[in-house]
Amino acid sequence: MSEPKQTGPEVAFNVVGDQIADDREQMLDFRIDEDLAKVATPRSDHVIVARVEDLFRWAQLSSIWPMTFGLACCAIEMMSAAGTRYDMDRFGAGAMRGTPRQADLMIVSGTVTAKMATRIKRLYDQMPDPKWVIAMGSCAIGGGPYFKYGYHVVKGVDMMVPVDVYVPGCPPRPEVLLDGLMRLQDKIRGKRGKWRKPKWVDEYINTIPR
Amino acid sequence: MTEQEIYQRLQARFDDSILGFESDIPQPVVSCTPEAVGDIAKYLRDDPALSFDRLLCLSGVDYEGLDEKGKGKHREINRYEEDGTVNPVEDPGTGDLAVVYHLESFKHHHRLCLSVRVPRETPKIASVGHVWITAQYGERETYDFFGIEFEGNPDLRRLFLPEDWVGWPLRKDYEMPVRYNDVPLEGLGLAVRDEQ
Amino acid sequence: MTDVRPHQDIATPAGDIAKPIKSELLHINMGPQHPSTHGVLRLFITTDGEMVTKVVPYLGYLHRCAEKIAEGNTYHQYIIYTDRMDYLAAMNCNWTYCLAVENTLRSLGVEVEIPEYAEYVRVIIGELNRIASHLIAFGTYGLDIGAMTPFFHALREREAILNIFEKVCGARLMYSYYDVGGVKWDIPDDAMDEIKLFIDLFPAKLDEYNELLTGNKIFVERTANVGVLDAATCIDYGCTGPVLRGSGVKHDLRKDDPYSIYDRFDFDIPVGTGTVGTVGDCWDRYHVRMLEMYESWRIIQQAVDRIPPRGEVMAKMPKNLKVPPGQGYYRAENPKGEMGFYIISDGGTVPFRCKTRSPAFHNLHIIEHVGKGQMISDLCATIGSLDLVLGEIDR
Ligand code: SF4
Repeated sequence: MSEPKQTGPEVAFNVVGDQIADDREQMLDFRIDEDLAKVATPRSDHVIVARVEDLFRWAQLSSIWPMTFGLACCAIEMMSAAGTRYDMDRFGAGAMRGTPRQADLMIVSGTVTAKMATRIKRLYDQMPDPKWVIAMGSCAIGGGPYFKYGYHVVKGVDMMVPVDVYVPGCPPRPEVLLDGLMRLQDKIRGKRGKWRKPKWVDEYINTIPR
Repeated sequence: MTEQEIYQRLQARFDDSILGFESDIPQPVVSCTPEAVGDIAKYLRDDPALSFDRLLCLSGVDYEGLDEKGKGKHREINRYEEDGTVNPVEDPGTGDLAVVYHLESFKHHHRLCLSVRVPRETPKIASVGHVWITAQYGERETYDFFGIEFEGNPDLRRLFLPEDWVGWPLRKDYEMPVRYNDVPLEGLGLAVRDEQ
Repeated sequence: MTDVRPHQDIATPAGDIAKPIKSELLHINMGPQHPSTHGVLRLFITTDGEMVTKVVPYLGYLHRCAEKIAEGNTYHQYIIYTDRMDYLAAMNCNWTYCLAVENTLRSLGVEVEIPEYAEYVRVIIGELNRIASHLIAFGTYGLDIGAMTPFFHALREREAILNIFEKVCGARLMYSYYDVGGVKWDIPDDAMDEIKLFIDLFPAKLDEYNELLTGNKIFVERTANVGVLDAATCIDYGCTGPVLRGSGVKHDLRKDDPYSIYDRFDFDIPVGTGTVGTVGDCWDRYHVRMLEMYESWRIIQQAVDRIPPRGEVMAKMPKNLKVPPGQGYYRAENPKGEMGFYIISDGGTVPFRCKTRSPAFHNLHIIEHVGKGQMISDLCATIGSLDLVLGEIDR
């Protein structure tokens, strides 16, 4: 576990000053959870002051419960992500629920067909608020390999339900899904960011023989 | 038994119904009329010398573009364009449809390919679902994709596509659908999606 | 097993307990989103209390138009779609398709000489994928029955196999590794070492699985004498693979209709024997898969021992593959059963028709027959034992 960064001025409600920040260092729980450190300010050993909204968000993002909802091939990678090596539970998203009524997150893992699309809509409607959707795999993003001749394939799940995070790949590796999950956590946290292309991407692309 | 012997046996029994035998290819094909296929199937299964107890594969074929001898050229099939739009199909197909049965016998370890051509306008054929139960699903699938009606199938509904789907998708002149009820099937550009 | 389960008395009309209980018929939709249907399978069930009186599967929730796509893409391009049919055993699907195209070419007079070395590579990789597929079947079957632990154990070994595949072809799930005329790349050295390591370690893991689940009393209680299928019914419904073998029929294309180089290896075909119940029950089907993993392990071992020195992995094939006019149905033994491709060619670069005979599709049909008279929980056990993959059923 890496040391939590000194948050300082980015945290709007950290008005108490350095003294508390030092105290915080010593409180083990806060060290473990950087997120909580961002939303809450300890007044003393036993009192935490935070905005309710932030605390709720913090709770939501650390226990996202996905729905067991495998559509196609990507579902196997979703299973792997929940399995031994990748262990999605580390990020609080391991409690796969069998019913939409207990779930916060729908991972649309696979091809959306015309017959299934209305069902997906209904499942989405059955989920209680707040709810999020990850479109996993190129099929769920935009039809993927079935774009050209797929007379029965909906070209992207965002035609049926609003999507929060797109996870590209065919199938995306479990790491990518985990990354998508973290981007979703960022979104819940209220952080907005622009995607910047890492330098190595261009360098890598140049090395590919044409 | 070789395919040649099977063919002769069949011809001796179902004289007129057996239309031909293509023997110069590696997996010879016996063809017959669509009405007789139920009886022929029953005979193929029950005759002890043949005893075809397995139906390996039941496939429909749209011979649009190929003539009787299997010569001809592929017809370009319709598709979604790069921007997700659909082109209309003007000329409807004229070629025959066909149902092909691949059979095998567990007992004698011989195989047979039975091919039945049906006209495109009135695609009707006798069902073999009472002979090999597995054919019931195969027939439903073929009905679903080609619109070939199997007379005598107890439950002839679409298998894969929704029941109110329009058209027979694996025919060569099938036009790609724009939407199904309130589900859009056209591909839309990302820009359009953002506006929604 | 001597003790008869109480509900079987109820299931038989002659049973004494059945008569006084009269309940209303209830229609239940199981799926398309249901944790125990392995994907988007929808079963329309009519129940009388807990007893199922009728099961009707509704398919097509994952119908992805594969056969239409085949008619629009070249022979090479279609390989990637065969990956996506049986996504648990993508290598085997690739193999079957390539085999079908090669055999069609051969039967029409085009020479396709697959290098010896490539054949061995194909067998090793194919059998590894068979193990991976059966591991998923084993793990998820445990989940269906209510045992969580085997799933994690199975995934651990599956990850080991996927590691090998990743080194071989760079992908974890969709490989497209086989090509018409051979395989695309050679196996790198470190992957070969890992395969050898896997061979060393795997039997111990198999014992572990058997300890975990096979002899587990609860598991046996829930699967023995449940979903019994006799051989004649299986054949009538077109079942193949472990479902057919679980009913005691010794039928495996690797032995009965040998393709590739399977005739050079020494392996057995496990069949269901009714060790804890009746021949053809869920436990038998499950156990056949467990034994098959062992047989695959034996094949891999022999193949790794005998593999010839490195050489070409691809036959000389034209870049634009053209198949002369003709047709053929060719098949191979996949983890789920007999998979076949019926290819009609018109002489061009694109298949005129490419129909897939998918094993799980035919295996599914039998649920209509076997589901009658079961408890709902037993129906879940039966579905799990059939090892369905919806990508292949709906195509
Ligand atoms: S994106 Fe690829 S792996 Fe995922 S469902 Fe679609 S075809 Fe399958």
